Amino acid sequence: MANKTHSRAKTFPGCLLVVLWLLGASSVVQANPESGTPKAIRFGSVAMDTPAAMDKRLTPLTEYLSSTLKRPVILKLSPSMPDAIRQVSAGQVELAYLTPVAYLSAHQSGAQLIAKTVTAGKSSFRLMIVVADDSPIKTVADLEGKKFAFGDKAALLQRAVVVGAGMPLEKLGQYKFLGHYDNIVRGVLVGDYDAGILKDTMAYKWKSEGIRILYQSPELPPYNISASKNVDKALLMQLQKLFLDLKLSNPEHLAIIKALDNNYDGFAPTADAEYDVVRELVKPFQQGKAPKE
Amino acid sequence: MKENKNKSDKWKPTRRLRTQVTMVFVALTVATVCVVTFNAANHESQRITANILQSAQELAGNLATTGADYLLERDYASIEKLLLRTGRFPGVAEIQIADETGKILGDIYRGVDNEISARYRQPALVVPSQPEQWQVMQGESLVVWRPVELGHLIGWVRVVYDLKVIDEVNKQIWRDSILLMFLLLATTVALLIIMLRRPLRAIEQYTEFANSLDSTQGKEMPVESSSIELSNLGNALNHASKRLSTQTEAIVKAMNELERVAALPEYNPNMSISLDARGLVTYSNPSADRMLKEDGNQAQHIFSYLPDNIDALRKECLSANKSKTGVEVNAFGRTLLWTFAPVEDQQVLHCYATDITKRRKAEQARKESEDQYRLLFDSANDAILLLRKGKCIDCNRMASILLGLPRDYILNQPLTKFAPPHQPGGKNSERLYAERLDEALAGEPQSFEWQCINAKRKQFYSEVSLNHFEVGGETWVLAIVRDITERKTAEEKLLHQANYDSLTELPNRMLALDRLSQAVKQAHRLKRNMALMFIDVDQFKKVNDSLGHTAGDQLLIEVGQRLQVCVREGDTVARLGGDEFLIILNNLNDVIEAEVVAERMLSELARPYLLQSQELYLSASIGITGYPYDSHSPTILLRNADAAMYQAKESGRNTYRFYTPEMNQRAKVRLEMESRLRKAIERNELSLNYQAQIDISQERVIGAEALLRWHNPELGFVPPDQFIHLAEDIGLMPQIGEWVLRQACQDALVWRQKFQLPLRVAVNVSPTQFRGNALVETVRAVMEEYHLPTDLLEIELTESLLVEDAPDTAATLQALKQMGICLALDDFGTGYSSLSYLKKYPFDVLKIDRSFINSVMTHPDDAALCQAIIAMAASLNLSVVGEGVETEDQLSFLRRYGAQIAQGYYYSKPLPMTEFETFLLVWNTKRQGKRVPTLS
Repeated sequence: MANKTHSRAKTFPGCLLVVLWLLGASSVVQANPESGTPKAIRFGSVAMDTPAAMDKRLTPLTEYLSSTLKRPVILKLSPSMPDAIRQVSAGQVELAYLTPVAYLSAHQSGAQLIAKTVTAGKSSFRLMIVVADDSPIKTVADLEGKKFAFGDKAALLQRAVVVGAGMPLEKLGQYKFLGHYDNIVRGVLVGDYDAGILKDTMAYKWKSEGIRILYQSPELPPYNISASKNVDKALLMQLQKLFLDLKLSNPEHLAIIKALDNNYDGFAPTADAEYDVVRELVKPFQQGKAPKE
Repeated sequence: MKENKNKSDKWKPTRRLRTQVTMVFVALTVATVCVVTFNAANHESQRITANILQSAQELAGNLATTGADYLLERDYASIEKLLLRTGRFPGVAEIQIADETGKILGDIYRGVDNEISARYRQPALVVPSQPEQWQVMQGESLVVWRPVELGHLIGWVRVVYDLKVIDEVNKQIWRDSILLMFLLLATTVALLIIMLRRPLRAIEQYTEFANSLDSTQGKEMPVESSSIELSNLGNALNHASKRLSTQTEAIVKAMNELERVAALPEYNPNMSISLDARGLVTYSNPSADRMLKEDGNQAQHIFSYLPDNIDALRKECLSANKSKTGVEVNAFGRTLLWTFAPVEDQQVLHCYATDITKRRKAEQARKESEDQYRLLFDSANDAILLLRKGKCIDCNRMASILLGLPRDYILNQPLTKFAPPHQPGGKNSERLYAERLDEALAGEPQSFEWQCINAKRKQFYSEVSLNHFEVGGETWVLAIVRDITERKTAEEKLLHQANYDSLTELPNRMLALDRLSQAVKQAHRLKRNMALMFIDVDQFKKVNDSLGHTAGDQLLIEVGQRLQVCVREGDTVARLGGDEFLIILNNLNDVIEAEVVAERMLSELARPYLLQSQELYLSASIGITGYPYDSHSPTILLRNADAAMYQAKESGRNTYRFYTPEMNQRAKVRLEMESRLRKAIERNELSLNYQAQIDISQERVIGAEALLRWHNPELGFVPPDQFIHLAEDIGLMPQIGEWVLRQACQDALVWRQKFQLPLRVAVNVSPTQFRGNALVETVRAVMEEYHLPTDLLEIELTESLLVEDAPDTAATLQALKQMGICLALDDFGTGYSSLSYLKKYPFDVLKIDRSFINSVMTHPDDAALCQAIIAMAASLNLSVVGEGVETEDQLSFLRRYGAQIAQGYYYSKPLPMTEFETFLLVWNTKRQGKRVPTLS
């Protein structure tokens, strides 16, 4: 017994030294990319969900990128969209998972598109203004003075679509941000709201439950993966290929894609021109100023 | 009595204890379990109902608490999620959460498929105004309201609970209870049966033991120890068994004593007397008196029932103090068996007699019956054996004679002891005997042939019949064995006669054809080849006719033996009849193998035969055909072999030919020709052509050779070399020869009369015509009939006749010579004749064969030979005719070297009679330098 205690005492300082050495080594690696180890890629994201949820959604993707690029890919989540935009604009992250509006802002600082998401086989979506099917509201103009339900306060595009439809927000009687599309559609069905805005897939799903589509926006580009201006062409091409290679038919890729969003099918090539329609829509909201939360 | 019997029947038990106990126990258990189950189920049902109702109320309260925040925030999705989760509670039919006005913000319901689903756009609820309305019954549903309050009323929760679920639950409770009840009952009954099994079995054993107490002889049975009562009962039965056994022994003892007492003389049913030392009767029992009375005797006659030497016996027994038994006396129709027992101290001899008259008579009768049986048994002409378990327990005299063994050697033996290991046909004797015995024992009389071996190891055929009979409950078998050797021998002889040629002992035609058929089948089965050979002895008829039938028979026997040497075991040599033999070669790789056999046969047959102190030479013609090449049919194979044989004959004999398909055609043609040839004479189809023979030196026609021609309307002109051979083969030559002779003589007469030309006509005679005296007689008769001078007839015969050198030949030639007929030796130089024959036989003319004449101018050797022949002939005083002269040079050669006569195309081809007459006329006229007249 005495011998075991004695050997344990001798072993412990040794382990501690090893751990400390490992920690130091990793920081040295991080702090000195020129020391010879591959430079890490930082992956940021708009806070669409809680940080824990976002981490869970994005970790499989970062591991995939890391193993294929043979270099570390580190998640660096943002607490808000402005923060996410800022990080990718300033090059504090090399990659970012952005909303269309967030991309536009980041693009002003040189952010480059890598790929766009594909949902249900479509790489674009529409936002739709819906009413109850027995509502007297027949046109967008009839929305004047009515109670409207929006979703996420940060989702500028929803408001931009309503304004783009021809109904300035101030002309609405009242509008509230209910958070999720689920609440928007129920709010309309219950009758608390005269109208609401839904994603096309949700609007179609609820048509049979008593919802009528009043207006649908033009095709809008979806969420995307963008790179900071610091990412060189070769790496950009490499990253693009990696994202485009993700296929549902591959079980490993399937897990990565569905972890990101269960509705996604994968990624598709994209170009800045696709986001022109968003530019137009959010123009009234920007007028040279930073986007409001 | 009857009433008592009925009463006792009434009280007789009809059910078993096990059944009674089981029924009572089961009934009690059923009742108990039913009551208990009912109570428990009822109580449970009430409890569950109360619980469910309580739960419904609590559910609404919980929802009011939980959903308050969602209601306040108008988080419709969360409200819906909460309701969907809560709606799964059993019994919930629908739940709504509404605002304070009753506007529904969340609504779920349970569908007919029991699925919980959300619904929308339902009309606003009518909220209760008083707490009493918070719980109301609506039909089969319970509606529970609870207010949602956060300081103030912000909304309502409404839960509708379906009371039918309570019924479902209650039903389930009852179902479960009833199932449990049955389980309990089954378990209880099973336990009861297990528990009761031992005691009831013990009771049965005790009962059985009690029923057999009288035979237990004091033995004890095992006692069941599972209960005190059963143990006591078992022990009591064992004690009873012992007591009974003891009592039984005592009774038996007493019975024995009684019997002993009964054996006292006074009670003895047999005669019993006592004699004193003087031999006087001092006591006689009532049975003795009765016997005397029955036989009409007085008391003094009692000594007549004793042995004659009773005094001596008495003295002997008394002095030796020893009993004597078994003394038999016959008196007054009785047979008495005496026992003498002395009592020494009293000097009394007790005499006990047992009347064994009936026994003796029965013994006598049995003996007489046995003697009669034995007499019958032993006097039978067949061997009779009694078999018990397959072995002989008795046999008669004939069995000993047949098997050559004493009776004692036959007893205790099975029939197979006197039989070879295998019976004819190959069956194992032991197995056959066992099979037949079993059949007989089963009641089926058996009769079969059986080969026996006697003591001298001689096998003989017997006929065995087996019949079963019962003796003392046991089945015995009576075997009758009859020697059928003579019959078998006769049968075999008949069979042999039917199938074998009596002369050669070879298979005859019938057997040969059967074997041929079997050989074809076997070859087919084994996928082998077989060959059939048809053998015809060449010129056998000549031998038969010349040497007699006895010699001919001997020859055939030897031919058969020689042929057998040439074949293997398994092949067949058969005699079809006459001089024809059939050979069947089995199991060949190829039919061509028969060639070797044929060669050997020809070689064997060519060896000289010694008959009547003469060496004789023969040959044979062999036709060979084979299966499967030539045919699969035995009939066709025979035909093929025959056709091939004829082909061999036509090829010169002493050879063999393999059948070819063409032979059939040829055989067919030959048959046709034969048929027509037989009728050629009567149909006047034969004719003679004449070729002139010219005296070379005088250039005059001195004669003509008659050459036979046959013109058949269907066949046309048939070449002589075809039909003459055929005629010889079929024995037609004598007939044709006679016709030729007659015709030639007739024509010669015409020449003499018409032309005044004494032309000699030369007639060819075949060797077949030289058999016996027929030729001489025919010639004589013809000459006399036509009155032709004998010197105008020339008989030509070939060298082959001389080679045979038969006695008939010389005699015939001499006879012909004596008649004045000219004899010519034809085709000289082509055969193997010995020159000594020229000296021996009285020839007048030698005809040199055309083959020599043709080449005298081209082959010096042939020229030399011709010269030699001419010179030799001259030395023998023979005239020489050169045949086939066609050129001047050939004629000059003949003339130069002294040949006298020429014959050939140089002068004339063979001509029909009329044309020959014309030739004669022209020749003579030209010779005379006259004009040729017209023949009238």
